Amino acid sequence: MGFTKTSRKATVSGRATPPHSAEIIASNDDLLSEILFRLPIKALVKFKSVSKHWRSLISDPKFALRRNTNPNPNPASGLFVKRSSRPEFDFVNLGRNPKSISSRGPFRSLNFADDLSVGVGIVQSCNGLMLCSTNQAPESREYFVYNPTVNRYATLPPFSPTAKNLSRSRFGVNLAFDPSRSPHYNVVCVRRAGTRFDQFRIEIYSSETRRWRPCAGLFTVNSLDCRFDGGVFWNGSLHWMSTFGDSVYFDVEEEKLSTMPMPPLPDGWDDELPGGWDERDVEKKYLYFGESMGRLHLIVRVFEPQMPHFDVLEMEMDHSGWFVKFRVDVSGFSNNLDSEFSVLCDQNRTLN
Amino acid sequence: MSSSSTTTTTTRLLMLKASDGVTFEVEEAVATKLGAINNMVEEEGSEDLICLPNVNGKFLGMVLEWCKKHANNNTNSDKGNDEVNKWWDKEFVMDLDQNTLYHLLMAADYLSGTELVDLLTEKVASMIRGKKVEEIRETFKIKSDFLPGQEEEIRKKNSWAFE
Repeated sequence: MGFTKTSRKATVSGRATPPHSAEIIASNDDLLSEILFRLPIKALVKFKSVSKHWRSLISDPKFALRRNTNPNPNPASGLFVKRSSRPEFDFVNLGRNPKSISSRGPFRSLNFADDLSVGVGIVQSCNGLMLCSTNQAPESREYFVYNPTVNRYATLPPFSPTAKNLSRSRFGVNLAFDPSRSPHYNVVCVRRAGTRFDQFRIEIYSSETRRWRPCAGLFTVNSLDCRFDGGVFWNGSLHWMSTFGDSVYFDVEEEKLSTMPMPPLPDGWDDELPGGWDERDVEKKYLYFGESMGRLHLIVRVFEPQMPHFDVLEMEMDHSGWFVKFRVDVSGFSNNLDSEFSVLCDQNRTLN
Repeated sequence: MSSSSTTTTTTRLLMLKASDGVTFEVEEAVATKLGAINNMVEEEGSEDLICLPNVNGKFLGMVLEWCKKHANNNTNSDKGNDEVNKWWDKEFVMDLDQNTLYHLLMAADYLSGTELVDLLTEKVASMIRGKKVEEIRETFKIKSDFLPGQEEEIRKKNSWAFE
């Protein structure tokens, strides 16, 4: 039984006031790991220099994996805001304890490109990593995966064969990274194949092999406006939203593409739009699509003249459908719902 | 006895004997919050006296105090229990001195009191998270075994963490 395995402590705890109790804790790998799991990354990296023993514990990939399977995922620590008028990013600190965390962001600007006059923007943020690209035409864009915590980045090799004439809705590069499953990340490139509007080719770059490999076959997506440049990684899959056609998700491990259920249009919308709405409003009915704290969210505008509001929907874990998580009354807010919204779930706190 | 009691199960009492001979009489439902005791009760059945040669009376008493609170709070089926437990846990670890904390942690680990281990490791983590490397070595009585220059190299490579 479990009693014998820890019997080495008998010699110490048998004494009335044994000295150096902390020393014994630190020599018990199980307990020391339990303590270290609970430390923030910054403290862990710092404590690598305590001793060789601590360094080997903290550097062990198994330690990182176990630490990342923490059932309480870290909430977003901040928002990066880019204004078109300025080259720098503003940082909105959302840390739990604003006093303990420096309120400035980990970076002000991204200077990865060889040619510094070419700006670099954030394409996507995914569980602590960021996919960035140069602000150029799609076919000449360079892509980077950036870790802002340690301030290091990797440049991705170009796709093969060189893509040409890539329009926004027909092409997208997305990051898939789940540190609780693997320390490696994948980058998924979707682009139109041949002349058919609904057929796509998918290629995957793996940080483990450091090369791109094509997925077998072509993928059919029944949509003209699927936002392949705005993928959201959640639950092992990348999700691409479409307003008028099919929305889809791609299981990166299985390399399988499926249709994602979307909330139905309100009654009667198929025939006639409600008063005051036109086509452009329908285009903007989804205010936000993203992941937060391990949940997938969608914000939908709901038109009711008496009570304009929006619904924050959450996806069921098995992709079976959406349910309303919050209903937000915006009548006192302003009648302009064109502002941008994002959902950050932190103890049910919703921010705009 | 059975006529005066409204509960359907009779509470069995266990006797726990610490390394220094101190004994505690505890309800089985309380003591079995500790995985190790639970195993003993399940595997060995009828034994009423359990000897724990690796925990002394002071710390065993504290561990059992924690178990008792949690067992009691959990029998009241209100949903506010989590809050009560959390509040009580906070009080429990608040004024612990380091030596007591570490001994208590060893005792909880030895007795497989998983929830208590979680509580105590969290407390230790909160105490050390802001410390300097030198202070960590002092706390845990660790001597640096890096070769000259090695430590400097780690610091240089991870300078962002030392800011």
